Amino acid sequence: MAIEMKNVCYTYMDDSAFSHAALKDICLTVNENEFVALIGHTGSGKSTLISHMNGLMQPQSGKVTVDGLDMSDKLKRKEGRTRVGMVFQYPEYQLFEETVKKDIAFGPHNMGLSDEECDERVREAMELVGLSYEKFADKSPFDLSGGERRRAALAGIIAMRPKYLVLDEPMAGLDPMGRRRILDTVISLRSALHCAVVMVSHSMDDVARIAERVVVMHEGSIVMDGAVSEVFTHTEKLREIGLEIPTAARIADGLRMRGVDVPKGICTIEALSEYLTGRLKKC
Amino acid sequence: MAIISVQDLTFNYTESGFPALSNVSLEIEKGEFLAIVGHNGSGKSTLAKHFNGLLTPTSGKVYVCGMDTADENNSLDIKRHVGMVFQNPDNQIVTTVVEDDVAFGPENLGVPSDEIRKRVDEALVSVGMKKYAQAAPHMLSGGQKQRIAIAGMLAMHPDILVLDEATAMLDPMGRREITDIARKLNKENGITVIMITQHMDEVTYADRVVVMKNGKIEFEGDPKRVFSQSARLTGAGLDVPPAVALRNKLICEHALAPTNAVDTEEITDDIYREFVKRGIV
Repeated sequence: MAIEMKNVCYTYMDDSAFSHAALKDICLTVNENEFVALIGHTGSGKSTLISHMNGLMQPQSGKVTVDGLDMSDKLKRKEGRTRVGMVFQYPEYQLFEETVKKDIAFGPHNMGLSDEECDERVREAMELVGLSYEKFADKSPFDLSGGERRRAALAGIIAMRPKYLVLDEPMAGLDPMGRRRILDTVISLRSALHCAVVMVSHSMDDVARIAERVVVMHEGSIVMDGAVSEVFTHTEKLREIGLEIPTAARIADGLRMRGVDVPKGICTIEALSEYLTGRLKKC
Repeated sequence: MAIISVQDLTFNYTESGFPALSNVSLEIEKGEFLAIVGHNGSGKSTLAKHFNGLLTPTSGKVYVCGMDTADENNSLDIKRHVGMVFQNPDNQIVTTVVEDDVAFGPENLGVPSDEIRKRVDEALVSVGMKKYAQAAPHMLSGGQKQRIAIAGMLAMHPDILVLDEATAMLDPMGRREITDIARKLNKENGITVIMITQHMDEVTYADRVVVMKNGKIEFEGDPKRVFSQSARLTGAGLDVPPAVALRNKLICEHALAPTNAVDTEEITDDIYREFVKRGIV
């Protein structure tokens, strides 16, 4: 079972002077339970790609299936969509109901669940994102802080119990504490729901720390795809396409350039600190 | 004399509500590169909006270039001295051609048209966007749009440039474009820069960092001093950049001699020196 994209192409404003090929022959499989980070600079096609994962956009050529369900088929798409939960950038701007509870229940209601089931889902989702049901359920979403609102928006997706959770820059615009909390939430969600996570992020330090696999996009194509430690070894290539390198990989690179033989594949501060402590304390 | 002087400033958005700023005092010197950091809701943007009179104090005083911001007669003059760039690049562009947008400010100041031409060209050169003079702003990247917004401010020849989370919605490349330009304008043109941000790595080269917490100034100092107090930063909902976190860990484990370096390159150097000192390389 997986999200499978086969030879997917998409061009914006095709047949016009502004024609822009956003996706060029994309082949990508997201397996159950995987944690995939999608990186690439602005305009590389990341958001277009994830919009195809739940059938929000249809490929102009190629095919997308979710657990075998063809997303170009209207009926199957409906089923496929409930399995792929999408959280867009700044999702807090999409809250619209009178209360937090109603907003979170919107998805489950549309799935045809009973009121009791919906309420159960709401409670579960709120607990998972760290919002107390007693405190927040009956509040207006507009009385919440920015960070809380983002959690509420996330809960609205969680309440549909997706098998694949797709997050478009979930930490953007939050302060360091807010970023850490959202990251921790994503990690705990994944283990609680046993879902796969696809996360678009510009923060390489975060990607290095929590993802398992990294997919790198550049000008509408996938240019690298592999384990975190593998992809972040290719620092030169990443720099070439204008991407940042995790701080730890940058320091490790700098030490190598100065003649210290740091092993390849170290890309988190924790791993680097452990390695350096071991080396330096022996003497 | 300080170019901006904030004296015991308190500000309430609503009469009954919690004050967004309470008893803030701050002196900003001419030519300074000041960074203001703080958690969401700490009051940093509210403070920034006092620097050009967009907001005026509930109590206390704010003087910009010696002018009281609460005096309406000063309002236009103050805005001429202080250029502000905000978070969302899409909300700040008013025309459909880049150079028209940059000309919008000086036009409104009644600058003669040949002088406007000159200022627009200069401003676009300083932000590295000259070749996009005739472009349509909506076809540009976020970082480029923010550069246009900065150019629009520069064309008014301000003494002070306030970047109110101007990098928050940009990708790392866009962020670097903006911070590089801010540094250049500060060093080469002597413009006082006030940068409000949540990205701790952007403040490492500021002259001074002010840390806000719950509407108050929690503490301040040069970046080295501020980043040496990681517990206090965490307490204010912030953190240290990853390289500084590594530095602290190594020092704590006695794997690195104490250092107050905050820049990634400097820290790499310090670690390398440790290898040399211990005879490993």
